[in-house]
Amino acid sequence: MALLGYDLFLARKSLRRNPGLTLLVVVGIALGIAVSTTFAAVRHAFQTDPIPEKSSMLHSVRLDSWDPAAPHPDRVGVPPQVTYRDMVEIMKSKIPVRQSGMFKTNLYVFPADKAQNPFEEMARVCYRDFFAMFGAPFAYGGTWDEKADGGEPVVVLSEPMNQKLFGGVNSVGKTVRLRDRDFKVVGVLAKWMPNLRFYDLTQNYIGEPENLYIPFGLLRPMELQLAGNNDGWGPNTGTGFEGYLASESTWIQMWVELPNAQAVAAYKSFLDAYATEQKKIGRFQRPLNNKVTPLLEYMADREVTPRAVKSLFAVSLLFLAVCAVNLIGLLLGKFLARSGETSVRRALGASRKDVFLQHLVECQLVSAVGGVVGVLLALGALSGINAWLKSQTGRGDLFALDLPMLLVALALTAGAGLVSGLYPAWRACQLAPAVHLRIG
Amino acid sequence: MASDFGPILRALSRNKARASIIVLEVALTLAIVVNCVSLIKDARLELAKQSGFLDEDLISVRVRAFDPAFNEQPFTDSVIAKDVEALRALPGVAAATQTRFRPWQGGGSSNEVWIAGTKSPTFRIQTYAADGQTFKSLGITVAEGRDFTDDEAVSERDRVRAVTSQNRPRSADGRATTPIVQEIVVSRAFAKLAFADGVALGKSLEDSDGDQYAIVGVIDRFYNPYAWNIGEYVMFYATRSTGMQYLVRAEKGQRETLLKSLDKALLTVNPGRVVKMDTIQDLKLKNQGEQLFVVKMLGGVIFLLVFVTALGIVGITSFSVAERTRHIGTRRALGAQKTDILRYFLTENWLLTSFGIVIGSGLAFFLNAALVSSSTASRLAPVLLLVGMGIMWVTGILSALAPALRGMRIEPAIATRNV
Repeated sequence: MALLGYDLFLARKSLRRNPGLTLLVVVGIALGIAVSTTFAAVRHAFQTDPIPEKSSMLHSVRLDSWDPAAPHPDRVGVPPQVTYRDMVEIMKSKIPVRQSGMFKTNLYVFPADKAQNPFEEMARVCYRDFFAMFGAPFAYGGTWDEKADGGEPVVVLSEPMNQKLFGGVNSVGKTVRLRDRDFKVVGVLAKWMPNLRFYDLTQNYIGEPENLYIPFGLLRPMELQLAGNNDGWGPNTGTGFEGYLASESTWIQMWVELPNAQAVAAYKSFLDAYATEQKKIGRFQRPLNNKVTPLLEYMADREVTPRAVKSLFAVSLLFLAVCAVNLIGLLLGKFLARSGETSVRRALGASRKDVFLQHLVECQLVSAVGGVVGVLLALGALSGINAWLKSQTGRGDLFALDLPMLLVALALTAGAGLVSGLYPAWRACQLAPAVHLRIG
Repeated sequence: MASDFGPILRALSRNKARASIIVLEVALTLAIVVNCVSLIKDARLELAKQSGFLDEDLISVRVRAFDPAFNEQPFTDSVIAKDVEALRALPGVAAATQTRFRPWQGGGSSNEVWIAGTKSPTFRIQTYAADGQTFKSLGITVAEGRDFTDDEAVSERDRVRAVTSQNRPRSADGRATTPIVQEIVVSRAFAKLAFADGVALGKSLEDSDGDQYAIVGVIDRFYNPYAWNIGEYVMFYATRSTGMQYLVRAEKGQRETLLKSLDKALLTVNPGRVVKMDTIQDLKLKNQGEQLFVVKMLGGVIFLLVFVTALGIVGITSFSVAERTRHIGTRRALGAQKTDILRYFLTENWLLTSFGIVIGSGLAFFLNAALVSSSTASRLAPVLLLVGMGIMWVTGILSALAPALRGMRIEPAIATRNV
């Protein structure tokens, strides 16, 4: 321990002797840590499991009800959403512990306080299971009852919406006017801010969750208009809203919670049986290809992490590699330049191991300082990227240096220091005592 | 210069580690920089795309009604007509129309069609409603064939509504027995895709309802980002659509003024609504956000990378000079000129950089192959490699210059001094 203290003392002394050079070395490694940590954090924001306690149980459901003439143009060849008629039928299954079809719609909100202007708001239209399924916590009240799923005017508010409409008090039981009817508030969510809107990856999934949630059964009586993606094919068999509901248009995200492998297998065969049944009436003319995909796999399927982010991360690691090579060169030069001093230490009895450790400690000190500076730079860079993202999507807190990312930065720092330090330290401890003493 | 090669190579061979560090650093930097520039080039290609319209003068206006009177379609239709009139009457408005189409919104509506009466492959194509003012509002003219008229848009809307308001009789294959024929204007890119001779005018398309689309016009350019690579393919058909969505083209320089007066004009027509305005340039910025991000970030990385490499070369060359102080003094005492010393170090650096560049070139192609196979990156253009080589040579020389100049100034007397 005392030796380590002495090594640190020597390292500090050596770093202070040539401040210009020390700055060069520190800046070099700090930039490497900053760039790689920044892009690791950006990538991390897309790859974090949004709901670790149950992501393996949440499954996205996709049915291949597409055009027999050509597969769906998505990468996996199956439409990412299901038709209304199929959702109605498969929701009858008792296998999932929880399930919900859903979509989003724009609604006008008329605040009870007449001084506030009516405003437009995105609402999620879903089943009562939505909240428990996706881990949305309630501050007041809870989800609506089963009967309300059929189409009663009840609503769950997000925390910000409750703040806006009712000043944040417990508003359960109060009414809020949405479009042309009064909705009773049955629940208010507590703060809920998953990294991504992972329950709907079809469109603009970087963003905050919706502020209003209403029962799916209101679709027909209110003729709710879809605000998300709609992929369709084939002839319209009817007219108007009913015609749309009966068509082959796919526009509903379907999720089920399946607790174990048996349930997954049972549910899969249920879907295949359904599709086979539908084949008899002329639908589902493509080969059976229904997909029940766990959340994380589905996120990979949908390519949630933008390719640009993956490329930038790869590039940043290469950048760090260059910085490490750079560090090797500079340390090597530095150590060999003071070989005289090292020889003296050796001649005075320091063992090779002592010299080796002394130099390694100096490397670690350099990279530790570089790491701290690098993390500070990364914080700056991330806040810049967040500000930019806010201007794009309205969400300004997506990228952060959380604990796992700080650990990554720490590992990168220690790794870079060690990898870059080993060779120069080894070269330094190979110096023979006598030769340099003679010159000196 | 060539006479220096021998001593330089012998000196380097005695200090392999330091030499190989410079070589490795230059090689890695070259490989990364060249590939980053290639990625930037890909992104720029996307950024350089043109919608085909006068983006900088366009404003998209979207109106949402909360007044229940709007539940009646005829009422909405009458308000739309008045809205459009009010918009066109505003000073500073060059043209205005009702349409759901917004350049650069990304996505929209699309349909699958094929060449009527053939078993041609199906094509996915974007579809938008248009009237006599749509192309004028977008700031273009129909290049071939004819434009729509306003009367046509109204009569077509009424005609199609009449047919589709009741259950259409259908044959066994699901197609309507009384197909609707509509006239459309398509983009030149679609004409080239669908018809071998590139001539679309006078030809017809068909969709899975059995409805037919007769091509009466072609516009030169169109691009709106859309999944499935159909960004350049579009058909406009004559109709008045139902939504209160407008596209306004301001006279040159009038856009900002209009943004302040547009909503008041519409609320004067009917106050039971909320008006939202976006400039098409804003939509474009949002749509290209990811590409812009990539370009900026990669640009930053390239800059930092070259900077770090330069730092490295400065540092290593400095050591190399410092270590040989006595040798330099000796050479100078034996009659070497200052320029000989300078040349020695620059040549040494040039040799190392060049060696790094040779290795880096191979590495660049290797890295590019990995990028191409794992993403949408395109192949490395050899000219980029040449540019990258140039950058590395210049960086190498400039970085070595300061330490080499320091070496040059070493006095011959130092040879005789004992440290």
